[in-house]
Amino acid sequence: MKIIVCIKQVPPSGGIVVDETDRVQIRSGGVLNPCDARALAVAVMIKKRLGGKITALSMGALSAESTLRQTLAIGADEGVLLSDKAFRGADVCVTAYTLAQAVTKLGGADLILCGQQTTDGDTAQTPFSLAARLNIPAVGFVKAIEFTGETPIFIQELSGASAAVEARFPMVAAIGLSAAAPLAASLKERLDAAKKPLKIWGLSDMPDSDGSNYGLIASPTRVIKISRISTEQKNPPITEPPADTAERILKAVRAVVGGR
Amino acid sequence: MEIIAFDKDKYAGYLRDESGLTGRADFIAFPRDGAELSEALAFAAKNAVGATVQGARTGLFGAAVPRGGLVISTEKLTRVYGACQGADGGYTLRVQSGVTLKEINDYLRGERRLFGGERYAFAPNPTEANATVGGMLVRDAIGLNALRSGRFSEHVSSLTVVKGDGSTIGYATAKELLSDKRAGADRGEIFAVLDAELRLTKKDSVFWGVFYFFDGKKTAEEFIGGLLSRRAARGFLRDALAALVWFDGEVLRRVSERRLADSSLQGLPEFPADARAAVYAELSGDDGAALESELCVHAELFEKIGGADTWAETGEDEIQKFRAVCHAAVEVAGRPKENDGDGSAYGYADKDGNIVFPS
Repeated sequence: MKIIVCIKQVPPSGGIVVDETDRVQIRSGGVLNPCDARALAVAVMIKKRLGGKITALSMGALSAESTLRQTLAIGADEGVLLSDKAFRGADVCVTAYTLAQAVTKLGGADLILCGQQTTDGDTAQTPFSLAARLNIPAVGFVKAIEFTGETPIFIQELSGASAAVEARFPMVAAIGLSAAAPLAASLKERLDAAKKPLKIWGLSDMPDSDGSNYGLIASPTRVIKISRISTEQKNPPITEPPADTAERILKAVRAVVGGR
Repeated sequence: MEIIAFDKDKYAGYLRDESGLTGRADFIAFPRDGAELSEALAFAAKNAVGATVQGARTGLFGAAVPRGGLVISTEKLTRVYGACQGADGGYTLRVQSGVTLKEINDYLRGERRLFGGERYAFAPNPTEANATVGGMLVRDAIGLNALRSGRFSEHVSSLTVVKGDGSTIGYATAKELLSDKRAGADRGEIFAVLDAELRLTKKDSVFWGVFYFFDGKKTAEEFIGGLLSRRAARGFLRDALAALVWFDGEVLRRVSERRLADSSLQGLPEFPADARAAVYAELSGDDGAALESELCVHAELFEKIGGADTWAETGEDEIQKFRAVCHAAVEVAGRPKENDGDGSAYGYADKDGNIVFPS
């Protein structure tokens, strides 16, 4: 079983910094995207059951190497970082193209696992765009994994229901937060991760090395404005006795539904 | 500046702090500068009502809970004046007393915020990012990294105190304020910290955080003793070991219960099922290879005394999730007198290697 896990280094909570000239995020360190941590945990679970090799694949600034090392400590066997100025500012469509190029260079995979969404871009579209680029099926919003014999079954979250989707390889699966608990590396694993192979590929390493097909210039979408949202607590903490609170809630409900 | 009659509905949050205690108040004021702060203090003195100066109300001991009179909130004293270099070549950052630890860290982490080409940081880390400078100063807060950095007051080079008569007093150090009688605290006079000059330290480039889990308190204490002995014997480790934190099984259990409700804890798996105690060690410096060698020695010591599970992470951003566990522990541990009697359910090692409860 050849598994590729797409991972992304994202800014820590509240730490998004944007270059005001082209509205592209400035990348300078960060953490493993939470859904990607679950995707890696699912990959480790499947590898334990079916055997194989896990490659962690990321696109980003060189600072993302530390996050790739983290995935090597947790269970990936090798890491590949796509880092080149030419890749900067890619939207979903071009990010998927770049990842697809790397998957092709890696010789393809049976299963490509992605986090459902990232905490910085939050589009939740890259896994499906990647599947389209590779012309393979995708299952999204995976909330749990089960096995029928040696076949993984992806339990997909639907509106008010769930679907059990049998894996037919090759395929892409987009993993949600509840699919698996994140894993922590032991001290020994973390120290040994430095010895595992990690490749850094630039534009010239891609099967398609035409720079005009990558990054901001190739992206069909543009960010035109980024606004910071400030929140203000409107409701003060409740300090009254619980019976008074219950009475007030009852009154509020009655005001809406009448005396029923 | 308006001295506002206290409206219990509108300002209910100002009657409490993280201690869970609730007080009462008659007035509230939100000064923005020294003149307004003095005006608020003068009002309290003239009308012979007590005054409670509040920061972010994150304290665990009820110091911000008013007992009637005037609440003076420092939440609008939020100016960061900027950094400067002293005669000794070191850098300081002057801020008003309502500035929070998070705001200081955000300022120092800002893009291109370099001092002589280097990154600088404010060392004390009481883990409560919303704590204000004024609050941490008057409590002389002790933080996660007390082992290396000691108390808050050790990182303040000067500060300004305002009194109700409009006068201001400058102090060279926070320690001087805490022991000085000029502010009038010993005579029941009211004063408040207006601003402070914080001493910055050169920022480390390599960070490691490691959780060590144990099957009992005794082995955890043996491990801490081993690390502290090694620290005492070696110059390098004295500098590299920034934090040493101890948790008992009950605190681990309570933190675990909190995981679902606290998003900062959700990036971690469950604690090992058989863990009855844990030690968190944080190392940082600029020599990554030396830190890794030191960690190998820690791992050997851990194995030797029969430890089993560890969690390890490197990188300042990634270890934040471990620091979040330490912060959650402070909040769930209870006061020393409420736990097992010796205050040892949870604690930080201080500069002398004593385990102390955070404040």
